[in-house]
Amino acid sequence: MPIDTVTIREPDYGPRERLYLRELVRGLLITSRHFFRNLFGERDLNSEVGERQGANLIATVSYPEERRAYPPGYRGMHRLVPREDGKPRCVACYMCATVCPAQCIYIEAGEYDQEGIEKYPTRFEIDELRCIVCGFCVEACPKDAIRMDTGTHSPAVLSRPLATFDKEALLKGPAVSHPTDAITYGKSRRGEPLKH
Amino acid sequence: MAEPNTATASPAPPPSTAAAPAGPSTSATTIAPAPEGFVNVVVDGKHAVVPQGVNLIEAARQVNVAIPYFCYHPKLSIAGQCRMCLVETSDARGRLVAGCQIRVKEGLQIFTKTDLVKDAQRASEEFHLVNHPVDCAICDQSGECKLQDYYVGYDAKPSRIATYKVNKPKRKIFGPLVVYDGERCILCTRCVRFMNEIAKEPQIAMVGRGDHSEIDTVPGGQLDSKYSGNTVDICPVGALLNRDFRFTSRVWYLENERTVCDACANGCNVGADVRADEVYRYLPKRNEEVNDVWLCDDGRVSYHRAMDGRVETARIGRGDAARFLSDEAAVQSTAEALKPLVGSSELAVLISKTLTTEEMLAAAVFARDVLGQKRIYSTGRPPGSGDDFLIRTDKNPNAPGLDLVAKALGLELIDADDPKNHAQHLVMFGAEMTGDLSARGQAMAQALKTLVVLGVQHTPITEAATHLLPLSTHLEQEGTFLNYYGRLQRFRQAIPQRFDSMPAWAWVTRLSKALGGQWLFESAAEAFGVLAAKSAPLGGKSLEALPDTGVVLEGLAPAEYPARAPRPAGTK
Ligand code: SF4
Ligand code: SF4
Ligand code: SF4
Ligand code: SF4
Ligand code: FES
Repeated sequence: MPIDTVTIREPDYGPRERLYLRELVRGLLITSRHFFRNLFGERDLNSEVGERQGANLIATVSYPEERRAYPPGYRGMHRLVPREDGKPRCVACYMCATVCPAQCIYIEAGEYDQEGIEKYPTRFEIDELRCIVCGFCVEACPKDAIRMDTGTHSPAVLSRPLATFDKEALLKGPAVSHPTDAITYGKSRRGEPLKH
Repeated sequence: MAEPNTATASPAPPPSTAAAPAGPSTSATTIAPAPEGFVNVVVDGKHAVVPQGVNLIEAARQVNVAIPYFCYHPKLSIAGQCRMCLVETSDARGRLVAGCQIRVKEGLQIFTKTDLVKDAQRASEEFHLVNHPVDCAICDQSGECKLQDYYVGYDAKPSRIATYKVNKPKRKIFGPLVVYDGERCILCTRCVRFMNEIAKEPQIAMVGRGDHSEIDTVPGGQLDSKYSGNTVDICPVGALLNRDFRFTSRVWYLENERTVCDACANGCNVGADVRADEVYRYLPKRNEEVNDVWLCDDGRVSYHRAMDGRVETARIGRGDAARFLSDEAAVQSTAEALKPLVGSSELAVLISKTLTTEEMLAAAVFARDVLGQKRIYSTGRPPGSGDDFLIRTDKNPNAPGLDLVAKALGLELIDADDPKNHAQHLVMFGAEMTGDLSARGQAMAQALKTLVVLGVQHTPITEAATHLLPLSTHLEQEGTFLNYYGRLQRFRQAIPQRFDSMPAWAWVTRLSKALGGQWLFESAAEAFGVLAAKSAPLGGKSLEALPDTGVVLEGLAPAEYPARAPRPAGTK
């Protein structure tokens, strides 16, 4: 099979570029500007630095004592959304585990005895090391039971198993309810007790 | 896709020759007259020769045209309940007929893709969904649900239902194996017809009128037939669900591996649904000469034998002296214990009727040629209740297999319960006992000087063993079972060998090596080959060449079959 070849020539640099002196000075000027700004405490007013402590006004963010806030819509650590009664909204339908391209969600399902909700997760684990933070699980969930709205990234850990978060660790954050949640066994869709 | 086969009926009709048919031709091309017992039909322009008397659904199936249906089932009576199968025919263009009820006739044209039919299919699907909860997210049927599939295939429109849906009982326990969800039920009555016509135990019925209709058990009773699990299989939606399987896995994770049920002598063909090397359920596989398309409830849950209570590692010594060993160390220690017993009349070898034929052969040659025995003892599960349909009283899957092996090797076969048996040392292939496993049997087992047991699950016998070796189930190996009427059925390995277990032929190979014997089996096929060379009924068959549905061996058939039991074609 013939292969098309393209010859790429290096661009012609003039003597000014070849000397490199001008760029060197420009770089040093930027460094010095920040140095003097920090030295005299002039703060960069545009940066949204969270948790800034004391009267520190220097422009450099001293991570991790100081953190910049993540932009809205940032896909952070997962959480399992609780119902008003504190139990997970999750019904263990495995949609998230099925769609997950990294196959990092592990679920085992159980059955409530009395409640209108039949199925719930007895185990729900996410391996945050394997997670590629695609957000497909959030999209796939029919119950709005898993969200990535915690605004934090998954923490650094000292050993791999510690990066697998279980149901108890994931179940956090504000409770969420939807109008259709009222539909439970024994009640009609209007929330009235059933006649038969 | 290749050209659809236009002549799939058997016996195959003769290829259309020059002979032009007399009478009016139904299509532009000339069609040869169908052979005796067959008729010509045209489905969506495709010519088919189909047996007389089949319905339009089956006729269309022969040329790969799918007519959707819920309530029709090839093994049950016709109910005409769901109206999903409506099609047009040349007899009355512009009118719809039920494809499940109408039979073919010579020259009939069937139209399944006209606008009228498509409208009817969409309307039917929409009607079925009027009160349907569509809780697929928690419905075990999801992924193998006709309502789901047909929605995608024939409707695929957003719901137009603006009112509240009718509420019905959810999660109603019908019986030990079956739970019912009234909201998901499409009232096709397949389950009712199955219980009436096949199980012949009318335990459920349709009650109520209109959209308050539901299926219920008869007052004061429950769905506790030994065949109740089949209602779950034939329920086209998630209304009847298997309580044993419920919520354990989504069906799209499972892979179906063909195997044979080992819970009784019938040898029903099943598919083991496997995920991550574990079996989650058995589903029946069609074999009209063994189990048709059905399965009994005990068989359905019998896969638990491979999953629960397993002997996991080899153990030497009983009680406080017990030590757990690696396979190699256990083989060495067992061989040392057996060495002084070679040829002794104090030693007896028991072989369970639950083993595969290949395992039996290996165990028997080990007893004869390595341990120098002239007779072997048969053991197995005690007999239980049976009926005239699928369930046999003999709860062992391979009793005729042991007879075959003993005959082929010229060994005397004696029942282990025989009072002649006063051995001080026992080697047991399989930890089942026909006699009672109660205190008496246990005390006897404890009194034995040497008790070598190859066992699958923990039993009082394995507790008493001085040398315990973990044995694989039939799911973990290739092999054959010989069912009660002499059908040799081959099965393949469905899951890897669990824990430290091995098939009996693999243990025999190791023990034999350690004792200086010459019987070394690398595979089940090798053991089968040894047996086939010695046994007349097997007549030089090979394991690889056995068909999936099995072969019937000559001269083993019973004088009389149970009244309703499926049997080989041509037998009475
Ligand atoms: S974000 Fe993506 S990779 Fe991570 S758990 Fe969800 S689906 Fe899986
Ligand atoms: S998709 Fe949602 S409801 Fe389903 S298992 Fe995942 S978190 Fe639970
Ligand atoms: S029966 Fe079918 S359509 Fe109905 S909830 Fe179950 S899977 Fe969904
Ligand atoms: S329970 Fe299933 S099989 Fe029985 S009528 Fe309802 S949908 Fe049909
Ligand atoms: S399949 Fe024909 S009416 Fe149901």
